[in-house]
Amino acid sequence: MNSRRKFLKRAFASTAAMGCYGALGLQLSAMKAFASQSRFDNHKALVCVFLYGGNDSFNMLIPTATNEYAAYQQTRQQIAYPLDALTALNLTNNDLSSHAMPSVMSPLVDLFNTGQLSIVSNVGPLVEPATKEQLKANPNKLPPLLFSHNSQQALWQTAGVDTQLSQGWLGSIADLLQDTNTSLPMNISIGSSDILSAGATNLPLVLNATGPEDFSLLNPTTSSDQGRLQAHSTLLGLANTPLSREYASRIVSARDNTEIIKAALATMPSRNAVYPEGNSLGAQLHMVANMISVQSSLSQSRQVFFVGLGGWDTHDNQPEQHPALLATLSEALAAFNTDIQAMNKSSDVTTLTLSEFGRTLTSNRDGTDHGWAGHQLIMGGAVTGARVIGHLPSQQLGTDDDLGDGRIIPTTSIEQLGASLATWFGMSENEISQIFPNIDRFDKSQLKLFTT
Amino acid sequence: MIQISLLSRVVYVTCILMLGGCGGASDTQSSASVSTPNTQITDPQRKEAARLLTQASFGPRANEIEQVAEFLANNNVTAWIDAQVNKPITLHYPVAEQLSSDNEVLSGASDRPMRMDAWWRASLLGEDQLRQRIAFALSQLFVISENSQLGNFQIEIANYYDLLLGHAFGNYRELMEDVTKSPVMGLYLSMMGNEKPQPDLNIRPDENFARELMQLFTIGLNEMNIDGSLKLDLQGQAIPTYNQETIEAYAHVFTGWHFAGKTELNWNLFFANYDFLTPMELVDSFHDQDSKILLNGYMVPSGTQGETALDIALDSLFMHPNMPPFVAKHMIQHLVTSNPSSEYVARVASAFEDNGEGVRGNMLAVVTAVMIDSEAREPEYYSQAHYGKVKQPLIRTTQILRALIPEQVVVTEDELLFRELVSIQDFTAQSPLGAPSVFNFFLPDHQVNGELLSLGMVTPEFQIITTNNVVRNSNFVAYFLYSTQGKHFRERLNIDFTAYELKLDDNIEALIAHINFMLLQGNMSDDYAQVLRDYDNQIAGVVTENERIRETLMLVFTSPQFAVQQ
Repeated sequence: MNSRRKFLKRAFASTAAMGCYGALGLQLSAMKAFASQSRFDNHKALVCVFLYGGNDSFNMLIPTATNEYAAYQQTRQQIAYPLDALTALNLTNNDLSSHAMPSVMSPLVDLFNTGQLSIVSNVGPLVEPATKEQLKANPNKLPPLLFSHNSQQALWQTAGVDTQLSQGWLGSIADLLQDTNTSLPMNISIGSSDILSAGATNLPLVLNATGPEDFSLLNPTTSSDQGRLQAHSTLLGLANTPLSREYASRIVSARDNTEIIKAALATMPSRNAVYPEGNSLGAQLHMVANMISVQSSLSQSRQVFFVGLGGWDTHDNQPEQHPALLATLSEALAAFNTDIQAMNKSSDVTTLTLSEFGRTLTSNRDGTDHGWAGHQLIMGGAVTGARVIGHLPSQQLGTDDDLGDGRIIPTTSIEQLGASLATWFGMSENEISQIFPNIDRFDKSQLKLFTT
Repeated sequence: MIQISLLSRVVYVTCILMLGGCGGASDTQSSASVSTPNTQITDPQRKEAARLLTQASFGPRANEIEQVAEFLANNNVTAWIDAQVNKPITLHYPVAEQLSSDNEVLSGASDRPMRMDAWWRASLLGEDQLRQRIAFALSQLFVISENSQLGNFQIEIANYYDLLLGHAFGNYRELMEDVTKSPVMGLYLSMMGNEKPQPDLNIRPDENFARELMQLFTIGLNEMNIDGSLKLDLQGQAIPTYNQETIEAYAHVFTGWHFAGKTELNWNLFFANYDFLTPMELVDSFHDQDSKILLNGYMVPSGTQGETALDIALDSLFMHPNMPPFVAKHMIQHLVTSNPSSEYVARVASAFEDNGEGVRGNMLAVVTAVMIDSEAREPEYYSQAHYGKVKQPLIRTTQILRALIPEQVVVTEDELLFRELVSIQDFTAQSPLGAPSVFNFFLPDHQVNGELLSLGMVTPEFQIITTNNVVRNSNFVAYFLYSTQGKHFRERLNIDFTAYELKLDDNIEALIAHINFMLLQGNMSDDYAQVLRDYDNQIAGVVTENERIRETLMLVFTSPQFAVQQ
C-alpha cells in the first residue's frame, strides 16, 4: 500500500472511532483514573501561538555571510530585508555561518543570544520523510491539499492526520490528562479557538483577553438576578435538540468556569508585567500569564493554551507588512517571557509558534505566495536556547530543498516537533503514539529541544 | 463645524406593509393582496409563516406573521418569493454616502458608523428582505473584509455590498465577473496590480485571487457529485479539483488589472487616482499573453486578449460540475439547515444547472429551489432532531430587533439611526463585511466533538459561538433591554413594546402565544411556556407591565431555544 493511502487510512480509522463516541468517552474516563494531571507533582504549561496566514519565516532567519546574503538577495529581490535592517544572532553553539533576524525582532534576538529561545527550522506536514526526487516521482507522498490555508492549518493542528478531523493534538493531550472532578478545562484558548485545542471529549474553554466576563443580569453572584437566573437555568435544561443542548452546555460551561477563574484570579499576586499596548497577541499572552500565575489555585498541574495572531498572508505590501507583524510578535513574546521569568516559572512554561506554511522564495514583486515548510520559534527556560534546530535550507531556487518556485520541502515533521514537546510535558511514549498516530514514520529522537 | 442643516433634512416614514402581499409600491396601509384574504389563520399556518420569515428574512416584524400566514393560505412560497423579488432594491452605498457627507463631526476618523447604519437600515427596515438576506449570504461566500486595507474605504465597501444585492436573483456567472473586476475584491485578494512574470527578478503572478476564487467562490477543493458528496478514486480517496499548476495558470490569467483609468505609466503608483466604484480595467502591457491550460477542458490560446482570457477562465469554473452543488450547499446552509440531505443538495444544484428554461446559474431559481423544497417546508423533515441550524449571532440580533421595532419608524437621512449598534461585533463576533479573513467567520464543515460529531453533523456557526461569545451574545440582550444606551436606542426607534403590552393586557397566555410565533417559530413546548408563566407570576405584582415584558423577552432571547432555527 502506498503511503498516501496509509496516511488517509489512518484518518478513516479515526473517523470511524468518532462514530462510537460514547464508547470512546468511556474508555477515556476509565484511563483518566491513572492518567490525569494529578499524577504530576510539578507544574508545566504549553503555550501555542498560531500565526494565521502563513508566516514568511525564511525571512525571519537570514544568512549574512557575503556570498549567502548575495544569493538570498538574488532570490528574494524586493522581498529581501536589507542588511542594515538585520540584527546578528550569536551562533557560537551552532555549526552555521552567520545569520541574522530582522532588527524589528531584536527583543527575540536578545532572548536567542541569552539562551531562552531557539528556532526549529524547516518544519511542516509530511506523510513520511521524502526527498524532492521521491516526491516528484510519487505525488502520493505529498500531504493532501498543500498550499490551501485552512487545509494546512488543519494538518498542523491535527498533527498531519487529516484535513477534515476535528481533534487537535493539544486537545488529545487534554483528553489524556483532564481531571474529571472539575468543570474547568485544562485546555484554554484566548480570544478564539481552533481545532488544535479540541479534544474528542474535552472542548476548550475560550476566554477573552480581558479575562472571564459575567453574564449581565444573569449573574450567579448578583442577588437580584436570582429569580431570573433560575427561570433561565430551567430553560437551559429544557433544550431538547442536539443543537440547543450544545448551546446550553456552552452557557453552563461559561458560567461555571467564570466563577472558578474569577475566584482564582482574585488571589493573583500583583506583578509588574508590562505588555505592549495595542498588541492583540500581547493582550492574549497577558491573560495566559495570569492563568499560569494562579495555576495552583486552579489546581492545574498541566495547562495548555492556544492564542493567535492573523495577517501573515502577505501577498502584497510584504516589505511593509512583514516587519510590522514580526515586531508585534516579538514584543508580545518578549513581554510574556519577562512576565513568566518574574514569576520564577521560566522552566515550567514553553511557548511555540505555529503557522500553516512558509512562503515562496519567489515573489509577485511586492508579496509572496503559499509555501510549505517554515521555521518556528520555541521559547522558555527549559528550551535548549541559542540554537537553530534542524536542517537549514539555503535561500536559493532549484535546490534539493525546493519543490518549485521556492516552496521548500520540510525536513522535520509536525509529529517530531509535537512529540518532543509532549515528552517534555510529561506524556509517556505510549500516550505520544496515541496523540501522534504517525510518529513511528519519523525519527523520534532527532529533535533535542529541551535541556532535560 | 456642524453641517447638519434642517433644510436639507429629509424625513420619511417607512410603512411596513405585507412582506409578501403587495407586489406594487404603495404608501398606504392598504391590505392589497394577490388573492382573496382568508381570515381564519390557523396555528400551523402561523408556524409556516414564522419558519419562512426566519429562514428568508432578518426576522419577522410586527404583524408580518399574520400577514404572511394569510398570504400563504392562498398562495405558495414561490409567489411570496416573486413578490419579494419585485420590491425595489434598498441600496446601502447611497445611504452611507449621504450619512457620511452630512456627518463630518460625528464621523471622526472613520466612516464605518455610516456603512453600518446603512446596513442596519436595509436589513432591519428594508422591504426587500429576501434580497437583503441573500446578499448577506453572498457576502459570506464572496468574502471581502474591513479587516484589511479596505478598513480605510468603508463607504466604498458598501458599494460592494450593493453589487451583491444587485445580483442576488441574477446570474451567478455575471456575479462572478463583477466580483472579479471589483476593485474592492481586487484590493482584498491582491489581483489588482497583479502582473505578468519577470523571470530575471523571480517574479511570477500572485496566486491569491486565483486560489480563493476556486477554493472558496466556485468549485472547492475536491471533486463532487451533483448531490455534494465527494467523488472518489479507485482507492477510495477524494480527488482534488485542481493542483498547483492549475492555480498558476489561473494566476497568469488574472494579470494586468488595476483601477479604472490606470495606465502603464502610473501602474506602480498604486493608489494614484483610485476609484473603488468603477470596475477594474486591463493594462495590456502587464497582462501575460502566453497560453494557459485551465480546468474542465478549457484553455486560453497564446496571444488572447486579457478580457477574453478572463471570460474563458470564469466560464471554465462556471461550467465546472462542482459549481452547482457548491452554491447549492452554501445557500441551503445559510438559509435553512446545516446538514441537508444529499437529495436536497442535488435538487437545488439541478436548479442551478437549469432553471427550467435552459439557463445555468440563475440565482432566483436556486433561491426558490432552496425555499420551496420539501426538506425546507415539510414537518416530516424539519421536525427531526438534527434538523436546522444554529443562527448566526448577527442574525439572532436582527431577529430580536425586528420583532420589536414598531411598524412605523421615522428615518432621517442626516443622522445615525443605529449608532448604539456600530460595534455590534463586540457582542456577536460578527459584523457585515467584517470577517477575520477570506475564510469567513466560520468554515462550512466546522464540527463540534461530542454528541454533534457523533451524529455526523457539521455545525458551522458554533465556530464563533465559543464559551466567551455565548456570554457576549447574551449580554447584547441585557444591553438592548436594560442599559442606558439601549434606552436611547429604543427611544429613537420608538420601541416601547406596545404590541406586547396589548397582548399582556389580554393575559399572559396571549403574550406567550405571540412570542411563540414571533420568536420561536411556533416550537415553544408546554414546559417552556410554564417557565415564562411562573416567572411572570413571580414578578407581576412587583414590577410594571413594561418591565414584565422585558423580563419575559430577556428569558426568551437568552434561551438556547431561540439560538437555533428548526
